[in-house]
Amino acid sequence: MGWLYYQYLLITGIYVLEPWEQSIFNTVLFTMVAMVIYTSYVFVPIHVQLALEFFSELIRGQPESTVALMSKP
Amino acid sequence: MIQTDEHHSCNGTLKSHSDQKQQENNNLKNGYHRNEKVQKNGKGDGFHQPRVRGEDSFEEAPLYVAVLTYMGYGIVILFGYFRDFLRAVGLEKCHQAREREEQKDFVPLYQDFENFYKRNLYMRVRDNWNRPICSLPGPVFDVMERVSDDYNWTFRLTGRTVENVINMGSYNYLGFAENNVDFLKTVAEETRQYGVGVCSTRQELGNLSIHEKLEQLVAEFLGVESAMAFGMGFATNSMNIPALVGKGCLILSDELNHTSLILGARLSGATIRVFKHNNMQSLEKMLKEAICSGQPRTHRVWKKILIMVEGIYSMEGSLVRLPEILALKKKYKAYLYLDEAHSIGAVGPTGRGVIEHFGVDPKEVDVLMGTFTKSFGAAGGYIAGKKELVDYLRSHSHSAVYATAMSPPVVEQIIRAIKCIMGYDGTTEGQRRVRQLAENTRYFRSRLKEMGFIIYGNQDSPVVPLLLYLPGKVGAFSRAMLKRKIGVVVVGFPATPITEARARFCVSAAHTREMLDKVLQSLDELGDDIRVKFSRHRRSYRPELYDETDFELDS
Repeated sequence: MGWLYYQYLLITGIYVLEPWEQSIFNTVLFTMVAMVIYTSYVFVPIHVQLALEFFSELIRGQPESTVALMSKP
Repeated sequence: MIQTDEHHSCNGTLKSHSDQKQQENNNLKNGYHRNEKVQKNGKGDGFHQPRVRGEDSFEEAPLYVAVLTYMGYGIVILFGYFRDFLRAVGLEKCHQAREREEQKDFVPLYQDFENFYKRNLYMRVRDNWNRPICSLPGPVFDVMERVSDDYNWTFRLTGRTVENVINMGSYNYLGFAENNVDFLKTVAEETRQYGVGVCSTRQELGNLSIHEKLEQLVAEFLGVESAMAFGMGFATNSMNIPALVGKGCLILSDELNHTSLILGARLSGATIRVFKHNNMQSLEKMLKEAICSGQPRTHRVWKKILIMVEGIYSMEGSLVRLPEILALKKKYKAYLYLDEAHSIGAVGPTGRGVIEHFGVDPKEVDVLMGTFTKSFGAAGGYIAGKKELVDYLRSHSHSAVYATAMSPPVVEQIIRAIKCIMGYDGTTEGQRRVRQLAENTRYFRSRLKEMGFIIYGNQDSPVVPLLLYLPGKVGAFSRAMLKRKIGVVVVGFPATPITEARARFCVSAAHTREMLDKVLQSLDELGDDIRVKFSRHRRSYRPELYDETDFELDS
């Protein structure tokens, strides 16, 4: 766990900063990640469901209208 | 016969044709051949083939490394702006120099933004440079421990020293930075005779007989007519190029030339054009264009065209392409200025530099320049070439006319180092060191490549840059190596391109196999810990080498 944190410090370049600056950056990053997770948890299922309904409506709708046209004359 | 043994050992890897020439000399002298004859390698133009130069490697890192590097720099720059804002508002104490309150309306004296990089990035990792050393910079040295209470703005020494730190950063290629009393006997004698200060310039009353001896010896060592020595290596370049070229001349200089060459070129007032590093097509195109179009506005012929290159480039470890440059120089009738600061004493079968490495005649290069700081363990520089050139420089160079002459102990150290390399002191110590350096270089470089690090440069150069790329890893690498008692030099932005921060190792003949093994093992562990093994080439697995044979020999 400690080694992973060390890698994170090195890769983002935070390693050179003072501890209070590291805390600020960690807080900001954590907040942004938390917001992304929350948004995706709340909104992604609903959006996916709506999108699926829209496309299946489109596909089902097509054969219906052509059948109607054929049986009109 | 002892002499024959010496003869063979001094000739290193020369092909057998040279032995013919030695045989002739033997016959002339009734079977006893004097020591001097052994030192010459014979002409370079037909007695042995020019050595095939290994390829320089400049492997590129995977793309994600570049992305992460830029991201790292971006984050630290953002924090830099944040801290600058805090300092400007007054929430934080400003440690830097500032103008007084009464002078606020004047023209600003301290350019605030220019020091942004220094203030916000360099200061944070500053403890990796300027470390105080309290012993001589041999293969191991002692470092004084220092700590900082306010994040590297001020340091204080704790009083303890870290002992026996392995030195992988000093330019001590042949190990002449030593304080062995036997080796330094002549230096002590000369100091007793001449004192330490010269108190004059070479032109006035500072031309001591020991200086004449040194210059003769340097000329003999290099195989040219005449040489001149100066007190400072940087000043040799920057003060002598203005004497050689002026307005109306053209200088074609390599992209990665040292600051001293660039400064000398700018001071001279000549037109400077830069060609891509070691790229012969770029150089030829520029030569053709220069000769066809002439000077920029008047289209008159250029008075002189000077090509400036270095033997080994100190930040990349790459070797110059000397045979091709000489061919181009002859074809287009230009002059060549070769700066052998890092390569004299360090490459070549007998340590004569990059000219011997390629088997080229030293008379073909117009101006040979080098320094005594690196392989000879002293200070200063030299310029060598034809007698007319050196005589001209004696009276027209700024360094010769105005700078104080070299100090006698330093001159004697160079003399004894050159005599040691040439074998004049009666031992094979010099040649042993040259061979040891070549062996150490090959071993170190090949092991590092196998481990998977990205190493730049030619396989024969003792300068080994190891690429680190990310700004966070640069500081972490240097500190972790010091904790393991190995001293390294890391280089970052202004000296290298911003994405290519590196650690630069300088292999020395004084390093033993155990020291190199210890360094390699630490690098292996650290490379896995910090994750800097970026190389994508397949590594060959090699079993461990052991010193003694531990198998039974069948009789």
